[in-house]
Amino acid sequence: MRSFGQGSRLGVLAIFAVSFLICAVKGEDPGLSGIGTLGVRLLYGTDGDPALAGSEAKPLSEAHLKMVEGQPRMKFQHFRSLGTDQQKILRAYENWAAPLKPSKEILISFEPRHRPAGDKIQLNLEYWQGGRKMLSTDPVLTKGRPLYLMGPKWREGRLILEVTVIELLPRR
Amino acid sequence: MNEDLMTRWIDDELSEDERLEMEALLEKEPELKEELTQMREMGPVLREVIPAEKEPPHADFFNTHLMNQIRREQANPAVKKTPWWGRLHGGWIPASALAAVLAFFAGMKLSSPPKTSEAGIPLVASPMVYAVGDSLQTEVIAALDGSVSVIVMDGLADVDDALELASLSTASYEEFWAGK
Repeated sequence: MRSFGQGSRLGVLAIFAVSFLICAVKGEDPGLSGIGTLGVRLLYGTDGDPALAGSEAKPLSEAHLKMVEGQPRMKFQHFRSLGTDQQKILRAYENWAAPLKPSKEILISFEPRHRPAGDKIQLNLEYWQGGRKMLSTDPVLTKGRPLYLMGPKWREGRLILEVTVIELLPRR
Repeated sequence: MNEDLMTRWIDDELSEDERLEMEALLEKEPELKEELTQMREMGPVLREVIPAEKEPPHADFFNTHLMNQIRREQANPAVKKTPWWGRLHGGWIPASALAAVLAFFAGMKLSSPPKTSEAGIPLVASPMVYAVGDSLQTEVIAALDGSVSVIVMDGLADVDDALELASLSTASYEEFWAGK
């Protein structure tokens, strides 16, 4: 095996030192780097008139609707999408998704409990309504498979949060 | 021999009279004396490793999990095996406890906890759910493969019907669902 000469060793040390200095000067916090993306959608489910959700509410695509209707307890005749948000899953910090942005009436806060493993990640997940934390949980989520939080009543129907891991970045 | 006396001797908390009494007893049992002396010598090492007081992370989660465990225990009191430490004689309890503490910290340093993936994600997909407020009832519904798909929250305050929720939204990630 070829051994490093003194010059090579100094070169490697110099690279480490320069990298360290760059990070220090830029003040980068590795905990703020994104390890994935979380999507949160606010759905409206009703057995009544879906027009009550307002003209801005959007119907779901056929594939999306099939997925929602395939879930237990999602037995509403109509579903509408009221709003969506997607945010980075930060390596070591909490982040927030506000599907009704700019309103903060309904929020989801989340942070990872572990680094992702394959297509799964465990999150600390909190549901906030009207500025108050209402629920904490720590589900293991699989990329592309939503978790549904069936929430409060609104206009003869029910608000439902659809929480989906959209992207998980491989470990560098 | 009095266990309380032994424990307090290990922690150097005996009064002068108790210490004399204890040392007289130990003189008659050299093996026990050696064992307890070893434990006593480990005290400062343990105190260095174990913080005297530490706030548990996510205390609300911890407390809820604990209460859930207690409720489950109370709901299923039927078959209760005597734990292995329960079969030990009383004199071994302090030694067993000390060994458990040492093994725990050794395990913390040497290996990952069991029953998790390589990244530490639990293999059993059973989330802890902590509902804030007494009026909120939750139901966790798992899909056929055991992964959680729906958490039902009953008892939340209704959202004001006057709020035009849909018109408030601006963001979208429709492209994600378009690929589905």
